[in-house]
Amino acid sequence: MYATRFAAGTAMAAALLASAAPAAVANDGRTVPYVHATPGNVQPGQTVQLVLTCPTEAATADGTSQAGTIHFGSATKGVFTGTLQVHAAVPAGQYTVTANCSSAAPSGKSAEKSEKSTEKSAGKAVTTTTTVVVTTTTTTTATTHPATVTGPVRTGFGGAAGGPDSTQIAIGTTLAAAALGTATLMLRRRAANRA
Amino acid sequence: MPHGTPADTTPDTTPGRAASAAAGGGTRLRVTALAATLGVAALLIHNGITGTPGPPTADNSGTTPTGGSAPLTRSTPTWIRIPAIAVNARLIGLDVSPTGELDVPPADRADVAGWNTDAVTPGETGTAVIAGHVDNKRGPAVFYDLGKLGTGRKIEIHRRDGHTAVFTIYAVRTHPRDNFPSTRVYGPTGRPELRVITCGGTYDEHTGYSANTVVYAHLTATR
Repeated sequence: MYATRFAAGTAMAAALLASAAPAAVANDGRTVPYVHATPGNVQPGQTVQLVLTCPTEAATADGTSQAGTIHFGSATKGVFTGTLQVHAAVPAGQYTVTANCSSAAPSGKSAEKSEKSTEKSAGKAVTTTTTVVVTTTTTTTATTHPATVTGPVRTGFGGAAGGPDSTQIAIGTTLAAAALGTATLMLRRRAANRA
Repeated sequence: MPHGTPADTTPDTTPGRAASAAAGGGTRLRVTALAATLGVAALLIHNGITGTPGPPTADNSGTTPTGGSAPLTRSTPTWIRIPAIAVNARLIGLDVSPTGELDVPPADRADVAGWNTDAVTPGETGTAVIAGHVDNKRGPAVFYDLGKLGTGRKIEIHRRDGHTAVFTIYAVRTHPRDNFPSTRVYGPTGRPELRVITCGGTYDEHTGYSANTVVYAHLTATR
């Protein structure tokens, strides 16, 4: 019972909030602000192009990401273009890009005129996020660069290797055994003849 | 016949004594033959235990390379000449296996060497690699004397574009197979370098040679 009431209350609160502050919509029909990163998969040291669509009254934009440094230029009808320069030493992984749209600070008559319109966005920064995936250089290297040698070569078959010569040893041993055997026989015959 | 007469000095021609003398001479001959056989046997055993020296071992000398020549563009190498050890060999292309091992020339082609086609060509900026056999089953091969080389010796690489890249040796090293410094041998360099590699160390019929002899050289002239 309590859970049902709580869920209903939450839903009503959400509906009220939504009706009180309707989200802005861009020309392409998407809710603003939103940011798009191209490409979404990068390597350390590369640059990502960012397009940040803000409410039309937004005057400045900035952003942050642990993947690198973000810089936005001037806006055209609320659309900012910028870059994310990915750090060269950033570890591989998925990184969040947070972009902020800020309204212009009011000044003079034009500011007074626009004051009401900026109230709708409460003169506050609105924020959006996206993600980029940083891949390691090694992965890319394996598929696009020539193969790399990683060990010693095997360029010998022992035909001229140094070390003991078993053939000579075997022949010498056979000859020695034969000579000693013959000598033993000779001594025995001689002893037999004397006897 | 009394003893002490001059007749005692005449040769004894009785049949029994002659046979005995002949038997003594035969025995001496046999003993001499046996001694000679034992001598030959001892020599063979000694030589067999001492063994043959095998490929020359690198003296692991080295200097700091100085100077250098401007790099060349990519071109297939065709011949290698190392006058100091009378090497004059044709070069064939060698691939790298999926496990990262450099292929080698066919075992029966003892007279050719090969170059790593996945690396830079000799004369380009980077580390070019040439490998060849130290021996095959029949005897010494193209790089048998590589370990004899010392610093300052020249290596000439003839290329298909007509240029000859002349490298000067600045180090010759024997690296054990089980602790091979791959990055040092094959790693990138900021100038044209060459590695000439063959087997070295001691040979075991089950595991092969225990080391690689590596010649380090850098480009010092082109013509």
